[in-house]
Amino acid sequence: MITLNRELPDNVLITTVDEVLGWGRKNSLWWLMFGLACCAIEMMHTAGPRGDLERFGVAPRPTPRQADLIMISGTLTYKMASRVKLIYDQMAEPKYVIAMGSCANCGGLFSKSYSVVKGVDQIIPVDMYVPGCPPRVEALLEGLVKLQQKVQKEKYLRK
Amino acid sequence: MALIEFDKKLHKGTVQNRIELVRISNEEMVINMGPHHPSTHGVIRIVLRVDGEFISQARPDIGYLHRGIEKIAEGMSYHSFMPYTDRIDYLAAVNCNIGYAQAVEDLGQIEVPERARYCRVITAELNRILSHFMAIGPIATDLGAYTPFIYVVREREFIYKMMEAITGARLTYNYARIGGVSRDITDEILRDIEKYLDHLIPFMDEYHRLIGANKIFIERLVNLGVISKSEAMSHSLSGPNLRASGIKHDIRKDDPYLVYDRLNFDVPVGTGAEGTIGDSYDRYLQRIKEILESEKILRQAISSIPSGETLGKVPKRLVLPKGEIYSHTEAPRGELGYYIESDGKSDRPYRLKIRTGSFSSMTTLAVKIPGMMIADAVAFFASLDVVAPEIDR
Amino acid sequence: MRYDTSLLEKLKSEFPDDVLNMEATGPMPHALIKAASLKRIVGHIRDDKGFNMKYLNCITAVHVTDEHEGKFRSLGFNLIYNFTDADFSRSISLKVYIEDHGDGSINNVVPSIDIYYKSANWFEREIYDLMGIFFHYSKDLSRILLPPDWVGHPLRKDYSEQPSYNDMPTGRSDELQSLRLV
Repeated sequence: MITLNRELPDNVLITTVDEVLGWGRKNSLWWLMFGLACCAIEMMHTAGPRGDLERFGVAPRPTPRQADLIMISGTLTYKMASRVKLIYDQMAEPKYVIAMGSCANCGGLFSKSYSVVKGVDQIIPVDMYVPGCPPRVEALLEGLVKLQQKVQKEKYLRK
Repeated sequence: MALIEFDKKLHKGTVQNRIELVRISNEEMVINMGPHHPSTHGVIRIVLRVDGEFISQARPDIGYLHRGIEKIAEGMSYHSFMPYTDRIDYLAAVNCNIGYAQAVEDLGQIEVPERARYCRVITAELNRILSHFMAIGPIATDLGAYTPFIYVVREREFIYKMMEAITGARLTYNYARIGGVSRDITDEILRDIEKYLDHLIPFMDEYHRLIGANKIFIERLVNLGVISKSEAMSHSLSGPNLRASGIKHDIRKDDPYLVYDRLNFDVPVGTGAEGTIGDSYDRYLQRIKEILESEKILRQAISSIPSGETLGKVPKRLVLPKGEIYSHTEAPRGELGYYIESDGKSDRPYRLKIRTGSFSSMTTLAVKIPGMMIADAVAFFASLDVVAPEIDR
Repeated sequence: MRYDTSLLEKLKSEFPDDVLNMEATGPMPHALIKAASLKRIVGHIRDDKGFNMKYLNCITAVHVTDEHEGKFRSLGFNLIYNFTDADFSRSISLKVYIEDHGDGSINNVVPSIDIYYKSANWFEREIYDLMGIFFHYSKDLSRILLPPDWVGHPLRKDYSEQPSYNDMPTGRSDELQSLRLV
C-alpha cells in the first residue's frame, strides 16, 4: 500500500518495508539454465527475442550457486534424480522451483515407463506448476508472473 | 620443454604433437563434464582424465534421459504411438513421425495419397531447416559467442508461426498419421512459406559472413577432430556427419521414399574448404549447404503439389500381418531406422526398435577426444550435433 | 533398404553348414545362421569383395516368448544384424537364434563383432543392458542406459518392476497408467 501524503513533496512515497523488500526480490529472480528435454527448447525461446524473459529481471546463470530460481523442464529419470537433488541443495536460500511441462508435473505421457520419476515433487518441493506439453511461451510467462506475485506476498522479516 | 617450443608446437596444431605432450608428464586428474552443463545438447556426461588442459582419456556416460520408449510401444496400438515419436528427436519431430508412419505402412502395404506425400515432404524439409538452425547456433555458443544463438532463435520463431498454422503445435507436432497426414496445407500457408524462403537466403548469407567466414571461428574449428572416410563407415556415422567426411550418401537419393525421386536436388559433400576433409569446420559448412538444398526442395514441392485427399482409409483397429521390417529415412541428424515386428494377431507391435544417428555419432568421442584440450573437445562435440533424447530414447 | 536375395544365396553357397535357413520373401529377407559362426561370417562379408559390407546399420534383439493366459514363457532371443555395402546399393540381414534354457546358459554363446565395426560395441552394450544377452569376447560390456545398480532387464516380456529405487517409489497413482502387454 503506497500512500501519498499531501504535506510531503511529490517525489516522496510512503510504504511498508515488506512491500519494498517484496518488490525488490520479485524483480530480480535469477534463473538457472537447467533444461532436460523438449521443454528446454521452449524455455530457450522464452528467453529469446519474442518471449523476452529478461524484461522481468531474470538473468540466466549457468551455476546453481548464483541462481534463485530453477525451472525443471523435461522428463526426470531415476538416473538423473540424484543430480537434480544435488543441484537443488547447492542453491542458496531463498530459492524457488517451477515445474515446467507435464513430465515434470506428474510424469506426463512417460508415466507408463519403468525409468521415469512420476513428477519432480517426489524429490524437491515445487512452488509453481506450469502445465503443457510443452507449455507455450505465454504460459511460462504467466507462471513466472504468478510466482512473482507469490514472492511479493512473502513475509520475509518476521518469522 | 621450453615455452617457445611449446608455443610453436601448439600453433602447428596437429593431434600427434599433443599426444606426445600428454605422455611426458604424469600428474593427472579425473574431472566430470556434465550431466548438467550450459549447453543445448542435453544431459550427457563425459568423464575425462586430464593432465592440465590436455585430455588423455574420455569415457561418455549416457542414459540420463532414458525414458523406455521402446517398452511403451509394446503396450500401445500403432495409431496411439505417434505422439511418442515426436519426443525421440524434438528438434526434427515431423521427420520422426513420418519415419514411423512409413515403417508401419510398408509392413502393412497401406497406400498413401499423393497430396499427403507432398505435405509430408514440405513439413519434413521445413523441419530440417529448423533442426539445422539449432545445430549451427549452438556451435557458436559453445565457442563463446552468445548472439548467433539469438539470431537463430529469431529465425526459428518465423518458421514456428508457419508450422503452427499447419499442424497446430510449436514443437511436438504429431503431424503424420498412418496412411497420410492429419491436416491439409492451405494455399495461404504455401504463399507464406514462399515469402519466408525469399527472406532465408539473404539471412544465410549474412550469418555465414558473420560467423562462418570469421577468422577466429575458422581457426578454432579447422583441423579439429578429423574423421576419415573409413573411420566414418566403421563408426556407422550417418547424415551430415558422414557427408562431411567425403562420402556421398543420402537416403533420399540412394533409397528414395515419398516423392524425393521426382525432385531435383544435389547432395553436397565435405571438401576440406579451409582445412582437411572431415574436420569440424566441414561439418558446420555441411549444414549450411543442406539448408540451401532444402530451400530448393521446398520451392519445387510447393509448385508441384497436386490436389486430393490427405488421409487414406485405414481401420481403427489396425492389425499388421505377421513379419518384420527395418525401414529407414533421412532425419536431420542421421539415419533414423525403425525395426517393427508384428505377431499378426494383436493391434500392438511385438517389438519396436529405433535406430538413431546420434547414438552412433557418440561412439566417436572416446576415440577422437584424447589429445585435445578441453575447449577443443567442447567445440568438437558441438560440431557432431547430438541431442540427448535421440541417444537415450 | 535395398535387399538383394542373390547375396543370400551366395552366402548359403559359401557357408553351407552355417546358414541354417534362408527367408527370401517378405519385407526383410534374411539368413538364419548359427551363433558360433557369427564372427567368421561377419568377417567374411566385411572383407570379401563380393559382399563388401562395410556399414553396420543396426543390431536388434527380440525376446521370443510363448504367451498363455497372460503369462509369458521365455523361449529364446533373436538377434538381427543389418549391413549395407560400401556404395550403399545393397543390404543384407543376418539372424541368430539363441535358446533360453532358463538357467543362465544363454550366456557366452554369441560372440561380439566389435573388432570389425567400431560402433558395434555400443549396440551390444544396449542389448546387454535392456535384454540381458551377454556377448562373448566383448572389450567392454557394462550397463549403458540404466543406472549401474539397476536390477533386471526391462525389455524382456517377463520383467516386473521393483517397488522402489533408492527410496523413490515407482508406483503410479492411476492403475490405467501401467502398460498392458497382453
